[in-house]
Amino acid sequence: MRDVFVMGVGMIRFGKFPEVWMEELGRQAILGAVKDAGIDPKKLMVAYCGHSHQGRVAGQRALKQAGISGIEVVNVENACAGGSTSFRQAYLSVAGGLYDMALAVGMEKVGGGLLPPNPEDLDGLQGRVLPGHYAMKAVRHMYEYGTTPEQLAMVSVKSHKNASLNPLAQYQESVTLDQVLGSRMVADPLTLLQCCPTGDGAAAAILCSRKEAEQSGRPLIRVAGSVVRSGNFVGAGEDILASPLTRETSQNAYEMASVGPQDVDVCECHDAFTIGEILHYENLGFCPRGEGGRLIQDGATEITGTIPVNPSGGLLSKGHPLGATGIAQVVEIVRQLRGEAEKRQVETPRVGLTHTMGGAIPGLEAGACAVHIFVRD
Amino acid sequence: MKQGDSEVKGKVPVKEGLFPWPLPHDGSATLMGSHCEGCGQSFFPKRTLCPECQEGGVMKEIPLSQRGTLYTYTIVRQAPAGFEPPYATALVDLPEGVRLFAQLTTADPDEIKLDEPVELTFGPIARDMAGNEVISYLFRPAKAR
Ligand SMILES: [Zn+2]
Repeated sequence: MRDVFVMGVGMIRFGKFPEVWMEELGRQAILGAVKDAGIDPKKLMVAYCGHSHQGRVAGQRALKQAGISGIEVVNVENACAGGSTSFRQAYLSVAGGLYDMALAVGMEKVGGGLLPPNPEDLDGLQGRVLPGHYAMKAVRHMYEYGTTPEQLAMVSVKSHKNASLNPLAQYQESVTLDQVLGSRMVADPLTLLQCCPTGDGAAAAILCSRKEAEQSGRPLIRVAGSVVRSGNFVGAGEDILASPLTRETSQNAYEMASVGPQDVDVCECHDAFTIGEILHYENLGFCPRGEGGRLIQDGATEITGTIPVNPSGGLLSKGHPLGATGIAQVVEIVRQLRGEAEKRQVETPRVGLTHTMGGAIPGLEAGACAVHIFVRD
Repeated sequence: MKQGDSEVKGKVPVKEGLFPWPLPHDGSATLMGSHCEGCGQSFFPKRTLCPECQEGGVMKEIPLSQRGTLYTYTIVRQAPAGFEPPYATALVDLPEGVRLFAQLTTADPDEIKLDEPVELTFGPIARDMAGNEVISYLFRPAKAR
């Protein structure tokens, strides 16, 4: 396996664009990445497209709009981890020597409201909703560790503050702790401002070999770790706070990259709900189990903290257009490592990490988890 | 008219095969699970293949315990179509080593305690598109024995 670098990234502002086609969202993100990489799009030899609900050959449709045809195109479905999984496939195609340059694109148009449950899903028939799934984790975390509603809400305050510095975020307004706690209760203890919005979006990244990266003259951002796994069987006795999936996936990625959690300078994680981010702190190894609430309260995960998490605003405020999310995380980390994150720039980061989860399946912890580690050489 | 038809008019089970239908009146209804004689694991809902033993396991239908322990819960206040918020959903651990997702009979947080016993009951949880009451299993807080 050879070294792989991210040469260019692009994304559109996330939000609701009822009048714009998915193909157009994809086109803008793809051409954004092409321009950022400074390449002729004809050099792209393969494209992986992550999406959940865009129908057949969505990748080809977006690429056609971007003027790219006649190359290998693979559409990737892995729920909310679809974008990260397409990035992983693009990584493999370059690392394995098959291609020198690959495109990973994620895109989604979803509209609004709660995501509909799968009619075959017994839990859905019983009234399970996704915010409720996370809320049950929050209740258990509060019970075992004394985590407070205020600590949960602080995740949302941080997220909105960071997103107010991100011109590509869906929500760009700061909120106060009282506003978060006082917003409508969705599933106790999670209020509306603690749940990520639905929306539309697209993001793209161009991966390449060392030779191409060095010729480009762009900063060398190496993909040092790349791991995608599916959840193990779970059932009685499952510790819903432990997430062996995030632990093992990140552990494998740390080993591959020869770094540890203490080396991570900036992280984008799957904060679909505030409690999710607190659990990820623990399961990615940023703090001991049970101390996630204290970590946010101490300010450690602020842009100016010791381990900044979701400087982009994350899923909570930047938005969560399913298939686009994983690539958008890569876009943020690459810009952070290059020092191009402007008002939300973390101080001279060298190691960045992205973490995405996807797909609720009864009997499995989750459908997929992806962790990527990036190093500025 | 078959016996029981009048009692189930306007009511439908949340899904076939999870519990006896129509429900007996004497409170004897249990949830039906599967037990794998190969590895000893139990499952709900019933399944024909053990995920671990595959064709090598022998699956036997078993009635599941009516009492369990509340692992965690939430009060759902923004509900999908057909459901009337607020209602509580919970994860309940049964002694057979099965964890169930189910609604609770109460949505009052003061009545709900983690790691405390709960017991099985049946009742309406929603209305379907045709206006029928959807009947399912629920758990209610129970006294410790
Ligand atoms: Zn078995």
